[in-house]
Amino acid sequence: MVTVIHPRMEDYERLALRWIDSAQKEYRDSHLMQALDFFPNMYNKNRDGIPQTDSDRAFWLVCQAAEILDKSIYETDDNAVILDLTATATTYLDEALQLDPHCYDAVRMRQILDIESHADYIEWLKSMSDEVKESCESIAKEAGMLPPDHMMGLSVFMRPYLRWLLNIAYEYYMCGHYRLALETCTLIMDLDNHDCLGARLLAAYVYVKLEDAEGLAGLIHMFNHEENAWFLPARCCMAYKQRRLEDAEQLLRELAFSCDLGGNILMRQEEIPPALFGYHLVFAPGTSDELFVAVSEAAVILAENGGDYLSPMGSWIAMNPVIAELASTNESEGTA
Amino acid sequence: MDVSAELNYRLIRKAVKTNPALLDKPEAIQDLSRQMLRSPERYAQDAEDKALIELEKAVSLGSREIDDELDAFYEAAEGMKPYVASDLPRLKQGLQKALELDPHCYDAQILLSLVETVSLDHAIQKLDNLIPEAKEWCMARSEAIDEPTEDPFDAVCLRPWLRLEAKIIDLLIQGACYREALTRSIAMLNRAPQDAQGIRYMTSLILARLEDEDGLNTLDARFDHTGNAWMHIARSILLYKLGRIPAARRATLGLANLCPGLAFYLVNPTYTEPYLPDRPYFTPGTSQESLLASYEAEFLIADTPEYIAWALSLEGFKNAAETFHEPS
Repeated sequence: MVTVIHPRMEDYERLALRWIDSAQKEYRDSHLMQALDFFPNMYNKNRDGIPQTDSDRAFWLVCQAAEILDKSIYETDDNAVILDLTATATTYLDEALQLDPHCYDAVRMRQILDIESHADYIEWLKSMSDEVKESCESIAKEAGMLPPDHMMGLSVFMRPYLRWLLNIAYEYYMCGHYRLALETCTLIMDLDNHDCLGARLLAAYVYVKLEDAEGLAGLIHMFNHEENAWFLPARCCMAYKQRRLEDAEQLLRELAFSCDLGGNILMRQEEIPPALFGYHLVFAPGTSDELFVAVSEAAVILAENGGDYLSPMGSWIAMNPVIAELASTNESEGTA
Repeated sequence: MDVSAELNYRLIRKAVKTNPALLDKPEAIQDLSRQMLRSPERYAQDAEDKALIELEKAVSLGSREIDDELDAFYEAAEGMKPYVASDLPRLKQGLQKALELDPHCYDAQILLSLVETVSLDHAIQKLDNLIPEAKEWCMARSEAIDEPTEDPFDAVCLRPWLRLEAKIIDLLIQGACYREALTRSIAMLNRAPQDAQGIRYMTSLILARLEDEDGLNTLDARFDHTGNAWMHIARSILLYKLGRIPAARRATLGLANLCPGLAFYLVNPTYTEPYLPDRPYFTPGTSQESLLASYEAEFLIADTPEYIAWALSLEGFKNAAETFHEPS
């Protein structure tokens, strides 16, 4: 099962560390344990009252911006509201940068809002990459949170760097630089073997674009054939490209029945922009939302050679009788 | 495929088979060829040759019919009227006529399959299923008519089978099944190394799409590094995709300097008549080659959305694109 780190979860983690730090100075032994027990309640009732640095406040603003840009904005059709929300999120990011110029999530997300050229954006990301790494390491060291080798994701202070790399990887993917995307995903997975950010999900799709069946199989094996909404479509699309249409059909059915709205999602193949915070939009694992996000991220595969329409593979999926029937059932059950 | 030229070649082959003494009289052959070109109906006695005459008519009608379709489409769009696609009845009729004369006219079968198909997968499947029969038939006809040749494309009776294989490769590329297309392309190049069909052109684009630099270098060496517009595009985009910018820069400036009009056509996708039945002949080294290559490379350009903007940032490429005048 794959989980995507919700920005608030990371904020909770950061503040929990601060709380433990300050509690350790004040309390001892059983009193310490009691003090730690207070934390969840404190976070829920009075997050702002918890001891925190400017860097933590900046990150909290990033969380709020992310909630707007990666969620609220999709809950409305009203352009005026969208503009308003974007302006609010932009203000949050600007404030975050005032509080902490080294809040690299804010730096990155603020830059995305002003992208004019993806090629220039990639160059900018690359040029800053070493600085981001060094800065994160320095902060992690100061907090006593330098991660062990190949476990970079364990340290909350290193995750902005991993997210920076993931941003580079998916920009490469969307701009058609597949080997570079794969190299970057591989680097992330090497730095963080647990792959808390889900670089493996992007890597699966890159293997499909390169039509590297062996690579895809190796990746899935490396993650113990984890069940997630990316590996199955990747295998399905690979089978289609290899003209193993019966296998592709079988995998497509499995995918369609993997969640309540499978038919609907696979027929529509909607695409929405990736999350600014951590590429993968947040979803509840194992639900239709997970499949929706996975199919949206597969647009680079499904839209290939389609011009203004679905690609031949996208059409093959959408017009599959099982998909069509399931989609119609989804509609009539009112679950769409 | 130049249908009338191919028919001519077949008729000459048959004439020589009947009268081997003709081989010693090249002027007689030339004379006969001219007469056959002027009035093929007089010389086409066999059903398979009459079918080719019908195929040529069908292709000609089909081109005009497709032009009419496009006009209707754009008029409907402008006038906000509904557009109802025709199923190209004149083309279909012409092809069916060819097949009535000769059910083994595989070039007609290919076109009819494409016109009647419900989906790309359906077309690929149908044509793939046709291969064993087409190969067997063509080989039998070739044995009867052609002289043995080293390269199968030189045996005119084998060409329909080879064109069938090539068409499937085209369809696989349209379906974004590049590795399968590549495998079949290499098999074709091994089968007919002189590559009269120009399989190597799309092969270079596929290799760029799959970011296979070794493969592209091997292909280039195989044809003695003789450049062509497709290879220039492939090299430029491949290096750009791999992030090797200085090398990509050199390749792109080379493309702009060496291929007349290529920079212009890459920046300004230009209407190209549908290939009926396949890629038209072109004079190498001309803007016509550039036009065809840029058209066929559209899938690769679309896959690399920042490429054109980047190429235009190179002064030499930009100048070449801006100063080219299309031949009237």
